[in-house]
Amino acid sequence: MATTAPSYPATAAAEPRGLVSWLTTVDHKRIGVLYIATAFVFLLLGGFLALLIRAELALPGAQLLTDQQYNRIFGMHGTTMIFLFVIPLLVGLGNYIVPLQIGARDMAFPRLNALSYWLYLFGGLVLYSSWVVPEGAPAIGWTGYLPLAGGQFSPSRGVDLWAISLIILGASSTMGAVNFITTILNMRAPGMDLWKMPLFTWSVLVTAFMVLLATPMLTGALAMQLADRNLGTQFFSAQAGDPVLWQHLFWFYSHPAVYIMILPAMGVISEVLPVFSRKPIFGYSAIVWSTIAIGVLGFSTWAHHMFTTALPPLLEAFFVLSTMIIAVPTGVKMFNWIFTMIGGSLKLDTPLLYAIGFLSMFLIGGISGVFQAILPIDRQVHDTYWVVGHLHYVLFGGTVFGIFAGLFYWLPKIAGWRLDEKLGKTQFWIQLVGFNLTFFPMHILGLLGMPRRYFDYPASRGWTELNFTATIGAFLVALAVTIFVVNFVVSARRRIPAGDDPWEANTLEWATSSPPPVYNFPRIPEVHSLRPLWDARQALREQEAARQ
Amino acid sequence: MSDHPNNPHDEMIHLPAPSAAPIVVAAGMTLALTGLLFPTLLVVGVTLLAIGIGMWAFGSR
Repeated sequence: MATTAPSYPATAAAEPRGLVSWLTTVDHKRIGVLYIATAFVFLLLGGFLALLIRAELALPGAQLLTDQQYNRIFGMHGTTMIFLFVIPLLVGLGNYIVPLQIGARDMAFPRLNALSYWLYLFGGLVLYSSWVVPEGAPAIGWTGYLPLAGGQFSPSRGVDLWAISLIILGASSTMGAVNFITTILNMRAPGMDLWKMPLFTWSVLVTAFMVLLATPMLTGALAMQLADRNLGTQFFSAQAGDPVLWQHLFWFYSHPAVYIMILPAMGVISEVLPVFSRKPIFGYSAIVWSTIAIGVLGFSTWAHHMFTTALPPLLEAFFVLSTMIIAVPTGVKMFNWIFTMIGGSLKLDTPLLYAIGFLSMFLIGGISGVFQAILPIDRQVHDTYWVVGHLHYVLFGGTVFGIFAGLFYWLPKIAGWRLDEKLGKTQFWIQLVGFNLTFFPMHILGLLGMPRRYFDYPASRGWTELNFTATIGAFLVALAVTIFVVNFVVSARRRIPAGDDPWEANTLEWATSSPPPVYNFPRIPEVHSLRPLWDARQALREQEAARQ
Repeated sequence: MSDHPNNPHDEMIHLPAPSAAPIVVAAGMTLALTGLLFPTLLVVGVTLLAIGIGMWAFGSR
């Protein structure tokens, strides 16, 4: 520990203030807040790009964009939402909550934690700086497939900036993963063995291992792409190299990335459901093993994105099987979550609504994913709007609903005040309706043959009504996000105190004040069970009963 | 849940001091990498990176 470090008496709170304190902070809670706030700004940017896409596709013919503008916008939308919103927001929640959940005072490497955040912010700025270079932002989708992303077809410096920004974001993720693993394995409160660890922390631990193993593959591939574009190497050229090699390397990262995005959201759901069902989680160890199984199997399914690249039949069979098998641990979790609610005393507050939204929407996304594991179906729907519908049911219906469940659940702890319930519920229902209006029709559009990534479509194909419906849905989702912003501002002004434990929850983050002091806990608690706060409340009840 | 017995009420809690080193290192790394495309940024980036690493190393003694 640094000798220059400030020391606090166990009962005193000393919160630094001012802009400089935010620029130099190494406190995991402030870094978590920075991650969450920055990711939310990128959500608004990526969401604005999504509205432009949907406005363009609402009707046949060019509406408000040129074809090249459209290509840039949908690529930037995908890159923004995945690399700058979903993953970092979950990292932000993990940063804030994990040390509190395990009874630690901070992350293991506080300065490395700050470095991870600043690299994330600067990586995002590098990506967005591609709008101002002469040839503009990259028009290569979020997948950057070769040869489209090569120098011949995409000479723009924007593509190089895209690759450099992803390398920077990868460095940030890798440092974050090392920090999470070290913190969780070494800094748990006395008595908290791995089998007494909260499920959100488990999900962050498994995710961190996935990030650590998968990210170097993408970083290497991006370096090779940069070398092809700038140094004359031919790793991915059709003449001397292999463009399909890019797809293997890209999806070896990006399919595990789907689980990197969904596992922490599953962890949120595993925290919210027992608290709002007033019951212990059903099948704790089954959920832990399922999380580990998803983490391991997640590395064996990447080539199901490449069934149309003429893989050898044996490999195709392997990836079909592995894709179907990974649905098993996911199904186990689904059953455990449903059985957690069955027989419970459900408290239908906004976090639970979002958790139930997660279960139902992610179920649709998961099942449509199993369809795609079947080769003949995959070949029919590949690169159609079916896939766009499927991936949004997983990453929006799943992860983003999980993120909102987490924000409504933990914001009282982070801010010290509660969000307005009525506005929260209004947001949820509008978001649920808008989401389904946007993405369900895309499955039908895909089956009707509408290709993804296209800027326009002819009126004669009969796709207009479904596209128009999807556009209305997208604007409803935007309305829901706007309501969240209004709710945040209104609630911040009202400042209705949340109390230390507004939900009567089970885990250690609720044992300290809201917001927690800079040192988290005046004294490190000792843990005897999976639900330390329930234990404490139970002990109090017994004491009171004994007195009477 | 109970208080850990080796953690008496009057303990002093030591936390790491705030530091500008992470933001300087991050800015240096970003500019150095972007400098591979725009060489003038490379000089600024490497300089910042060296300063940041120095702040990090000497600030931790």
